[in-house]
Amino acid sequence: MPKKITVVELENQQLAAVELLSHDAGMTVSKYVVRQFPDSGCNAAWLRTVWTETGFVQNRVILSLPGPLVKFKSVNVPALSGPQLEAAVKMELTADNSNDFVFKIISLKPQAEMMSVKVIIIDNTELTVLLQLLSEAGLKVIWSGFRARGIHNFLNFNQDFLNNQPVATAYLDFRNKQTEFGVCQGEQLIFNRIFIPGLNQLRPEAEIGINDLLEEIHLSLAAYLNETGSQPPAMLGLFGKIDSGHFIVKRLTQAGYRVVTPKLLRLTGVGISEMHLPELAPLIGLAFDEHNQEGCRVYSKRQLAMQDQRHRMITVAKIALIGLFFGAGIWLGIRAGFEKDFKVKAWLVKNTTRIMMIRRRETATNRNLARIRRLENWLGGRADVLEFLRLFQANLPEGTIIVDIIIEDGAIRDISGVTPVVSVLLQRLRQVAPLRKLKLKGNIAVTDQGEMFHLEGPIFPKERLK
Amino acid sequence: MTGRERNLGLAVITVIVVTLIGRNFGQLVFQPQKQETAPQITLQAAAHLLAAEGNIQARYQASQNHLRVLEKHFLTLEDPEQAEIELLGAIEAEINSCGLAVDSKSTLQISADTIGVTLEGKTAPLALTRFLYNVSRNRYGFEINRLQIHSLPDETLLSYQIVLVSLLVERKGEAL
Repeated sequence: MPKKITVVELENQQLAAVELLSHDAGMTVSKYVVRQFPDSGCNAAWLRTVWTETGFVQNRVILSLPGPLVKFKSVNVPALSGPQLEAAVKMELTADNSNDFVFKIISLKPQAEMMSVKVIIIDNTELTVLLQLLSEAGLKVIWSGFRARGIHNFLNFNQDFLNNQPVATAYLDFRNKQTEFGVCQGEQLIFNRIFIPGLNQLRPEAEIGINDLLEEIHLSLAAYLNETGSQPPAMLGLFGKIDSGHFIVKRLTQAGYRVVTPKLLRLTGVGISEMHLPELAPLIGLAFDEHNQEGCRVYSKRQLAMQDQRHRMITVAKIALIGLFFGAGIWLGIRAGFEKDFKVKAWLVKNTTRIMMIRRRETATNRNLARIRRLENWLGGRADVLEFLRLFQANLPEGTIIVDIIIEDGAIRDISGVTPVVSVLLQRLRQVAPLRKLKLKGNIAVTDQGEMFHLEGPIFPKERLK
Repeated sequence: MTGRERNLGLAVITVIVVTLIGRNFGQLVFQPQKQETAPQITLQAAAHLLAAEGNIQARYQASQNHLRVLEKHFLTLEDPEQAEIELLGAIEAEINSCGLAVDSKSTLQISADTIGVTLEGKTAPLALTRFLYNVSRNRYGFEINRLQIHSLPDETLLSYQIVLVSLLVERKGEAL
């Protein structure tokens, strides 16, 4: 959807307005109006009527500041930047100007350790009155700009438009009560000078007025040369309520100046007549700044305060939204936690009987296994004594007589007997793993039948003759 | 940090802290009623138990069956006096079958679940050996707790003292 940009000017006893459509491919002119004030002067009702009659539907407009409202001034401040520079400039301006004003920095020029700053100063009271008038007419001024900026943008925009259309970087902007001479270079308005006469003082028959104009132009060119050290541009663009057939154009040409009025516009859309294009060109130039946040936008103090408040409210709204989302997230997380806990517990309750049964079975199984181990150990150990006696008997040396055997609680308390040589007996016993732990108890008594011995030791039922 | 940013940060931190406190408070106060009857077990443990239900049941059944088989070798604690009598009867049967000469015999209670029989006498070595072999394979799970043998070469007999013990089991398998 193309965006509508409307620029309005209340100067030279007339209303001038142009509406452009801004879309991805560029801009087009959709409508314009140039209407003289009524005899009673401009008022809100008349403005509203003209606005409606001419079919302008956009009520958010850009205001082109009337010339008398805009004062240019240069101040020297220390080489600072950002808010510090603004504060330094404001301090300098406040020292010279006690009125209620707003200012805008339009160019910077470093000079050693200082900075030459060119500013425009606008009387805030008069600006507020003008904004109020437009507000009563149903028009809301979103920002204000000054004509020099508009002319500058217009000249830059048309720099390479059509080879046979001469291009100027210097201009003369004719208004009713004053004329402005300016020189643009690149992105900057490097020189401007406002002087009298204006269109009101210039009549074909008033030679004094013309002579004054020529003199002022000459002085302006000299001042430019003196200030910048550069030769003035060869071509002068003429803006304001003036067309190529105007007598001023002829007189300037006769005086040797190369002048040109805008005749063609590289924007498409509704064609603007040659008569009105010089008047509307600065407004069109201001419209280009709608997409340029860094442009020279002027706001009244009230507008700035409202902007500040709007930013604060947007910040608060953003924080509230973030807080809301965050709170909602935490609340949902808590709810989810509660839900999960509840469901888990409900599920556990539902399965309690089954779970308890399984646990009892598990416990019972463990008890059974313990009993099984005990019973198996018991049954497995029943033949231990017999097995031991069998092994023992099978490994006795020849001639060995066993006299006594006492076995109790799985251990050999005493095995006594007679053998030809006890060492042979012991050697034989050591060769059998289950009998290896048997050891001599007490003395070996030598008798007629042989050597009498006593043995004791444990029984190892799990060991078998290998 | 500007004053506004600081205040914003404090506000955000306050919101977070209040919310967390409120969450814990809410959990403490508004816990579901049924929590009191829920078993003291975590969800994961409960899930594992239920998943292993079949396995646990199978192990239980197998342990029951095996225990029943083993307990058949033993007398029960349900009637200790009857167990003593049966035990004595079993020993006497073995004595008779082996021809063991017994001078005296008696029963004894070694512990709450262990009873035994004491035998003393003089007998032929073969009879004693056969007797010991038979009791070690008897269905009642006898174990030789004490064996004292003294040889009598002049009589070619053995003087013996034997204490045989057996376990008494509580019941046949675990009842639920």
